[in-house]
Amino acid sequence: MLCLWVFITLCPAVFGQDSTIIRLKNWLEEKNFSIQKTFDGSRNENKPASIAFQENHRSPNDFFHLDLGIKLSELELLKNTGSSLLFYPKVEWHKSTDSTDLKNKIDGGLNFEFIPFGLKSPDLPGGIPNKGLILAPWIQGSSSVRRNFIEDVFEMKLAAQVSLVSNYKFLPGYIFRDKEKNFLARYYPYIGYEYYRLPDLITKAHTEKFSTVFVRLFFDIWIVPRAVQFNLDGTYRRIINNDSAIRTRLPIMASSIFFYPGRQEVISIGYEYTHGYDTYSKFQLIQLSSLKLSVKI
Amino acid sequence: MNEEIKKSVIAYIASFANIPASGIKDEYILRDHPLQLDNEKLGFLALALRTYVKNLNPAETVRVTELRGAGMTVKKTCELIVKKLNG
Repeated sequence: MLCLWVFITLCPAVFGQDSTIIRLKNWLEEKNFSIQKTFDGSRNENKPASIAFQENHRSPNDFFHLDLGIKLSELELLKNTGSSLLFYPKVEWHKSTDSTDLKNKIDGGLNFEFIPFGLKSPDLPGGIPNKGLILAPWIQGSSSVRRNFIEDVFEMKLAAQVSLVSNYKFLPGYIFRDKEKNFLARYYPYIGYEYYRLPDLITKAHTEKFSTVFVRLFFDIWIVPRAVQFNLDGTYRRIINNDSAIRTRLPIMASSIFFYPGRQEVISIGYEYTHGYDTYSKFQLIQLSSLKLSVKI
Repeated sequence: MNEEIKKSVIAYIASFANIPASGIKDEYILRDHPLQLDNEKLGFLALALRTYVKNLNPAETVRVTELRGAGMTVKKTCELIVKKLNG
């Protein structure tokens, strides 16, 4: 509690608009770097990189957990068309000291983002072009080879997902605002496919290979503008033609609340509760509470 | 001409951010408060501005990565489009 008080007291100086961290953020952005929790194509938006102290409700364990993903650069194609195709390499580090589920994984890979059509917009004055769809698809894919230092194996994952975006009231991606025009909320639905190749996942010297389809719903809600953010992220995943010992149906829900001190949106402290079958925890049931220090660049 | 371009660019930003154009200030950063345009919206905004630019100068274009750049403000976005249209 004392630490929390010190953190909040010092925050405006340390994390304010002109702080070293904000300047570092700007420098990294200028170099086309981006730092977030992950770029695995499943839950990348607005999820900052974090170091967390976690409590496992299913065991007496308390432990530390690190999620860090860095987008290194971007290559943009189709620059003269009505579409956009972006490729970017990424590296990620995921580490957990939970004695019942130790993790230490570094992965690298290539992701892509494809916007096939433009997006129409309401309230544009006449005379300027307003081409595109009212509800447009946004497609993202990722490939990664992951070194699992605990099991001493290389794992592989391929994923692709489609979301929908709109500027029209109540549709996905629409920005809800209050009377003062502060950002209140937005949401995105997803549907996707994943392929996994995971050696030693259940049995030694046996490699599990399987595909999943998933649907996901993500909500980003600011309870207090520029200060308190609430995220709700639910995924229902199903393994196709399952012949492994893993459950076929794998729902998972994560809810989190973050506090951003000093009127900035880079550094935050927060609490996250996760319950469900986690792809990062051998597809086993997890029930975790996390106290997090997070950085989003 | 430049004022006309700026007015159009602000109209696009305002519409994508669901804020009245009259409430948009030059210093607002596209992805920060109060606009809060995320990567997805900035991608689509870039395509909308690309269509606008190509309508007036087919030799020019707008890249998604230009709008997602560091500290990209309303003012910088207007200047970028003005530069593309005025050579």
